[in-house]
Order: sequence, then C-alpha cells, then structure tokens
Amino acid sequence: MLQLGNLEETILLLVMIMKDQAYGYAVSKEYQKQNGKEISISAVHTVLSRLEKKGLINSEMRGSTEERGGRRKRIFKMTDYGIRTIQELKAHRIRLWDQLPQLG
Amino acid sequence: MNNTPPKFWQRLLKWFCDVELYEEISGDLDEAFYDRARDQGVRYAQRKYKRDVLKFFKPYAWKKLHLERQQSPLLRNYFKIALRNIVKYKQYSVLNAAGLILGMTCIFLSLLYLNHELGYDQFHSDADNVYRVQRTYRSQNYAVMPFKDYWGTAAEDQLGYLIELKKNPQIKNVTQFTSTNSPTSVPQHYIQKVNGERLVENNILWTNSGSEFFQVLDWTFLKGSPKSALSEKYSIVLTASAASKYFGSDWADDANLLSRYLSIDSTNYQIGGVIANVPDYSHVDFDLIVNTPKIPSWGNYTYLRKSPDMSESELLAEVNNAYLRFRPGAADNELEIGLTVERLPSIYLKSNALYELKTPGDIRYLWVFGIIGVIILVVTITNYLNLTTALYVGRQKEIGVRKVLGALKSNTISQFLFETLLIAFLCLPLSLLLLQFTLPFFNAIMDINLENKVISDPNLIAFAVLLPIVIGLTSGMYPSLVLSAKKALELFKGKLSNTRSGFGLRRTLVGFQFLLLVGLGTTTFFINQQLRFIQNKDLGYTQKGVISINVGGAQIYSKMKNALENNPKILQIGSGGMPGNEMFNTLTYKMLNASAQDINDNGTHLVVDAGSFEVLGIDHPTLRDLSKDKSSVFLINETAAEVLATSLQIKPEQLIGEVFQMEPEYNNEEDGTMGIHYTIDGIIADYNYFTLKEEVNPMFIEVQAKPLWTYEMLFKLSTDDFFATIDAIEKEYDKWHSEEPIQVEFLEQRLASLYKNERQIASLTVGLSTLAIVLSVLGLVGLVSFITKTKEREIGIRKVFGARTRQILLLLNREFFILAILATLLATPLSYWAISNWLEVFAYRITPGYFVYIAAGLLCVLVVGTAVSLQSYHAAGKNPAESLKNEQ
Repeated sequence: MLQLGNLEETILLLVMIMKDQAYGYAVSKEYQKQNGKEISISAVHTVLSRLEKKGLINSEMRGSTEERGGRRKRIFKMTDYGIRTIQELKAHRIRLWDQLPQLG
Repeated sequence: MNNTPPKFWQRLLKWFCDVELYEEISGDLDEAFYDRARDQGVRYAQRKYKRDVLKFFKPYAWKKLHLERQQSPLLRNYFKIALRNIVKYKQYSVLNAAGLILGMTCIFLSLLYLNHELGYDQFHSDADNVYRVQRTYRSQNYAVMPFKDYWGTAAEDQLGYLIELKKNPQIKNVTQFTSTNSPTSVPQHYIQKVNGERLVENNILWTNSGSEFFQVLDWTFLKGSPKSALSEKYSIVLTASAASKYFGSDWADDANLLSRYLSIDSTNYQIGGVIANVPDYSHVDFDLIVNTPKIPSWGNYTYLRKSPDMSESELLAEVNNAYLRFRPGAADNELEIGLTVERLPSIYLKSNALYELKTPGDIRYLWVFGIIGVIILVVTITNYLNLTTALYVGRQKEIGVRKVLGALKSNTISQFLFETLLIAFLCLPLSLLLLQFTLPFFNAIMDINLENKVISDPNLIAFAVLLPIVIGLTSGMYPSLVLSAKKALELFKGKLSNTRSGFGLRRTLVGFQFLLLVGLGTTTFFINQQLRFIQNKDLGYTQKGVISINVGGAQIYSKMKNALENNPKILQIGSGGMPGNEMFNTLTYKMLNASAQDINDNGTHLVVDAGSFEVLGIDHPTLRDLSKDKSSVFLINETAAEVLATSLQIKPEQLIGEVFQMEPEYNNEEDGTMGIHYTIDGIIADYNYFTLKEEVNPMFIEVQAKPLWTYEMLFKLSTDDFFATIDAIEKEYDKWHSEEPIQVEFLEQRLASLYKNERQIASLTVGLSTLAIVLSVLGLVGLVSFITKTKEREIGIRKVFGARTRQILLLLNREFFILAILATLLATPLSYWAISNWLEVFAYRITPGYFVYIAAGLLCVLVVGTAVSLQSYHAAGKNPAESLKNEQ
C-alpha cells in the first residue's frame, strides 16, 4: 500500500475538499485557514507535483484571470486511484485506532 | 511606490524558471501579491513576493532540457517544410544547389592537391631521420656530390665519402645513387633480356650501395626482402611494371624469378626482388634499381639515416668533418663553401638545389591553391547566405505563426539551421560525384596523380563531413538570427527587409562578390597575357625544325656529320649549345688585366662549333675567320661585354683583342698560370639561352672549327618529311653506338617544358578563378532577380505616382552601380599586387595595363545591370493594379 507523508496526505485531502478550485496558491491559503500555520507557495507546488507524479491527482491548465496577468492556473483534481488510496489510508488508520482502548 | 510585483524579481523568476511551469508559478505569485497588497499593504506584499521567488529557486522549478517533447515530431515538420520550400522556389533552389556543389567540389580539389603536395616522401619509415647531403660550391647549392676523380674514379674510391660518414656511430646507414632522370647521368640505356632482345630503359636508378639503400629508403617488397635484394655485386630490383615489361605480366607466378637475370653492357645482373611501383609522391622515381660496383656517372646523390638522438646541427657538423677527411684539399679551396643537409620530407618543397631528380614543387603555388580554396569557400558561403536571406523574406508569415504557436527564438534558429544544413548535406554526395568526374581532367592538366582520398583517408572524410556543417552553419546563422529576433506582430505586418540605409551585411556581401569578380577576372586576364607573351617572344634564335640528339664523342660526330651532310632535308648540322636549359652551374671570370676585386661568378661557358650557330640562325662576322687558320673563336655576349668593359674602364668595343681569364682561382700546375686564358674575338648579341625567368647572364662562347669533344649534336631539318629525316639520322646513329639508344629532343618542346610548372599553375588558377567568377555571377544574378521580384509592389506604387519605366530602371540599378564602382576601386590595388608578385618569376614580363581594370568594372556593372533591368523591365511594364493586387 502506498505510503504518504504527513504533508502529502494533508494536501491530498485539501485537494479533495476543494473540488474544482485546487491550485497552488489557493491550496496554500486553504492550508493556512484549516491548520492555522503558514505554508509557502513553493512547498505546496512541490508537493502537488509529487502527488501528480504518483498518479494520485490530475492537473489541467484553466481559468486565466486579470489579476494573474492573463495567466492560467494549474487546477488539480483527484484521480480514481487517488480517491481509492485516500480511502484505504483512512480505513487503515481507523483500524489502528480501533485497536486501542477507547479514548474518550 | 509601484503597486505591482517587483520587476527585477519577476524577471529573475522568468530567467531561472522552467518554461512549462512558469505560467502557473508566476500567476500564483502575482495573485498572492495582489491579495496581500490588499490585505496588508504593498510593502508587505513585495517582501513576501521576493521571498517566494527565492523559495522557488529549487531543482523542481529550474529550466530543463525538454528533449523528449520536441525531437521527433518537430524534426519531421522541419524536414517537410524544408522540402516544400525547396520545391516552391525551384529556380533559386537549383541555383543555390549548383553553387554549393561547384563550390564544395573545388574546395575538395584544392584540399586533395594540398594534401598530396605536402605529403611527399612521408611513406619511408621514420622519414624525419633521413637526410640528403648537399654541396654548396661557388654560390650555388647542388644536390649532387661529385666523385673524387669524376668519371675516372675507380669503383672502390667511389665509396670514399660514405666510408668516412659511417665512422660516426650515430650515422646508421648511408647510400649513394644516381638516376637516368638526373642531368648527371645518361638518360637511356639498353637492357638485354635472356633471349637477346634489347629494350630501351630510361628510368634506371644506379647504386653501388645496394643493401644500405633499402635501410635508408623504404619500399614495399612484393617478392624478395630488403635485406637480401641487392646483396649480389651485380643485381637488380624491379618495380612491378618493370617486371611485367621484362618478364611478362605473369611474373608474380614465376617461382624462380629471383634466380633469373638481365644483362646490361654484357654483364649479367641477378634479379634480387620486385617492389611496388614508386608512388607519384616520391621525389625520386625509377623503374629498376641496378646495383653495380661502379656508378656510371661523375657524381651521385648521397643519402643517410641518422639515429634519433643526433640533432640536425650535430649531423651537419659531422657531415662536413667527414667531407674534410675525405677531401683534405677542400679546406683550402675558396670555392668550396661547405655541405648542407636536407631532411627527406622537405626536399620536394623546400629544395633549391641544382640537379634535382624531379622538378621540385613550389611552395608559393601551394599558397595560391590555399588562397583560391578559401576564396571559393567564402564565395560559396556568401552566395548561399545571400540567396537564403532573400528567400526567407517570403516566409515571414510562417515564422509569425510559429511564434504565436509557441516557438521560441531558439526554435526558429534551429529550424533555419536545420534547413541550411540539410541542403548542404544533400549537396555533399553530388559534390563527391562531381569530384570523381573532374579528377581525371585535373590530373591531366597538372600532370599529377591524385586519388579521391576524400572517400578513403579518415582525415579527409572528417573534413568532407565538416565542410557542409561549416557552410550550413555560417550561411544559416545570419538569416535565422535576423528573422528569429523579430516579434510575431512585425512578421505578420510583412515588413520586408528594406535596407535602404546603412551598410547591411547583404550589401557588403554583394559588394564583396563584385570585388571578387573584378579582382579574379583581371588577374586571370593578365596571367593569360603573360603566358602568350612568353610563347611568342623572340628569343634570338630559330626554333622551328631544330632537334638535338646525344652523340658519343667528337670523332663519331665528325663521321656522322660527313655521312648526313648530303641529305637535302638536313639543312644544318652543329655541335653543342642547344638552348632551353634550366640555369646550370656558373663560372667565375675576369679580364686578365682587371684587379682581383673584379671577379664575378655568374658566367656561362659554352663550347660549340660553327654549325651550331648555323642551326640556330645566329650569325657573327668572326665566324668567317674559322675556316681560315683560326681553330677557334671566342665570343662574349653584350651583357658580358658591359660587365668586363666596366672593370677595365673602357668601352665594350675596345675589349676585342684583350685577354679574358676564366676561373682565375684555378691553379694550372703545368705552366703556373691562373685560370684559363682566352683572347676575345668578338661581341655577340644577347639571346635567351636559359629561360625567360632569368635575365640574360654573361655568356662566353667558344666556337671551334672542329669540336674537340662533344656530347650533343644539333640539326636544322626541313619541315618536309620531317620524321623520315629523323629516321635517317637514327639509322646513322645506330651504326656508331651500341650501348646507348638515341634520344631525340625537339627544341620547341624543350622550350615549352621549361615553363611547364608555370603553365600548369596558370591553367589551374585560370580554371579555378573562372569557376569562382561563375559562382559569383550565379549568386549575384539569382540574388538580384529575387530582390527585384520583391520590389514589384514598390515599382507598382511608383508607376501609380507617375514614374516612367526608364526612371524605375535607373533607380534599381543605381545601388548596384555604386557598389560596382567601390568594388573596382578596392579590387584594383589588390589584384595588381597579386599579379605583380607572380610576374616577378619572369625576368621578361608584361606590364599590366590600367584600362583592363576599368573594363572589368564596367563589365561587372553591365552583367548585373542586365540582370536587374531584365527583371525589372518586366515588373515595370506590368499594370500596377496587377503588382499591387498581391498582398505580399
């Protein structure tokens, strides 16, 4: 089963949460909102690229805006494989947690 | 303060960021900037922007080589477009290709010639340690070392100098030989086969140090081995062609070949081996090597092999020391300046010695070839560049579209380089084919034997591949750089390269081609003029119908003369003095009563009989005296008279009756006199005994009533039945000679062969120049017609504004006219300098006339003007509506 780092898993979840709006800067903003900690745009870009290489997410260049000087964004979406993987991870985690005495 | 992201950092990002990622990264950073600026102020936003850019400086974001994505489909597209364009501009493509092919072939020819000339004698093993010993006597350098007693030297004594040389352990091998090709030896000999059949052989190498010969010089053995080949006292080594000549074409199958023999002058010589034919890049040529105890000559060519640890200066010292041991008298002889050594591979090109075995190459001519080769290369590239640039003008839209679709500057450049390289490489095999065809003609003109080494020698193959690369890259660079630098919008607007002002590269190139046309054209013209001058100049004697033969001595001469006098077709008979020689050794002389300071050493001494002058049509009143009591008459020529008269401070006419002293240093032991004394009987007009490359030098001619000795018999024959008369002479010759076959020489031929070298180089220069000119004209015409075509619209507009056809033609021609004048002005001094240099070889030369340069310039203008006018006349005559219709 595929191993994912902490940051990778977090970012992957964010992509899934953000549906159609997941691109570098937006994900970094969301990360800060959700976790309270800042993350550099470059770190996010790097992780997203890695996740794409692993086949967990897909990307497309879309949505150019005036603010970006007409430049498009690279929008990321989950692949089927990505969805399955994240579900497996969740299940695996729950299995482990379940083996511990009940934590209130 | 600016409320946009900091410019420098934006540019920095663009610089290091990979193109694929740039859009998303810079977009994100810009968006973040504006967000932060809104929320927390511009300063903050700018600070964060800079930090973000720095943070993106990691391997993930750096510019990468995007190889896989571009290779295959893009190359295929380039290929397709390249081919389409070749077809679209058919005539210009053909013109371009023709120019390239011709240019490349010429460059290959130059290369082959240079390669050949520079590589003489390299095939001998360790050729750098093989040297020839040469002698400086009086003021001239001789390749021949004389034997102690010249012809009369005993066999053992002939080896005297070699023995002295070998005493030094650092001199490993020594050998001496002479050849029928040398002026020191008889030119032909009879060789008899076993069956008694006598064949004439004129390519013999005589040596008396056979086994050492193969240690010094290396030959490829086909039968036998170098160690044993000439170990017998009387032995012969044949070349393959000689073996066929004497033993049939199946000599290789003859197992007993090495036990057979041939005989020369009634002595049997054992066959010691067979070697491959001597290659043509050897300075010594022969068909057989004859090892005999006594070399039949008065001198020899001495060669040695030294050990590598001996320096050249040590060798030089040793060679001279050995000579002094061998000839102690030489130390006191003022005329013996000393010996020099010449390294084997440099003999062919550098040697300035007399009595060379083969006409040496002239290193100046190699320069000529090199320069012409470079000129042709430059012309080829220039043409290609010019024409290609012109053609690209029509492809601006295509490039604009490519840029819009995402082509980078580097893509555009590589596309055009690809095209020029492609065409250059397509022309390569055709050029090699043309080379194969023209090589035999070239060989015939140059009397040389070049093989197409471009396809066999790895060095030359590398060059052959490099050449189209160089041509393609240099020609493609300029147009591709010019076009790729333009923005897409400019290209769509169709801004034609309207170099109205300034001296663009194109103008310079066109001007350069004009320069070449005028320069090469005039140089070629003058070379031709000089050669015709040489051929037609009156030399001061009759040439027509004059022949000479070898004759074995004065007595046989008399007998033959008596026998042949009555032949009506033989008009005159004489002895000695056949003109048409390369300069041979000169003598010292002075007037007896002149001071010792007045010794000169540039005199030539001839011994002839009255008949010789009659053959040559030279007359002098003193010759009448010969038939009376005088047995000989001593004449000097005008040049000599000037020199001698000055030394006594009298007038030339007063020299008659005075006593003249030849070789005043020579001590005549018998009667104690110095030198040989003659009384001057008359002064004769100068005539060119030697070549027209030299001024006439002082000549001293001894005319004898009956020659005391002679080796040369002259005839003036009637032109009727010319060859039948020669047959009659030959029959008479055979009655008196048994060992040497007759050798007939025609004076006209002999004179012509003196300038063989100059004529060869001249015809080649003319040929190659013509080619460069043709290439230039081709290029110019093609370029001009294309430029004119692109100006169709301009012409149309001018017509609309009321210009007449005549005015339009003038306008278009004006630019070229100016260039032509400039070029002529530049070309004239250059060409004049070049031709003056070449003419210095000749003491008798033409004076290049200035009008030729003007004529060449005018011709240039005429050619181009015609091309321009023809094209633009068509365009000028067109209905402006037609020409303006096309949105070019």
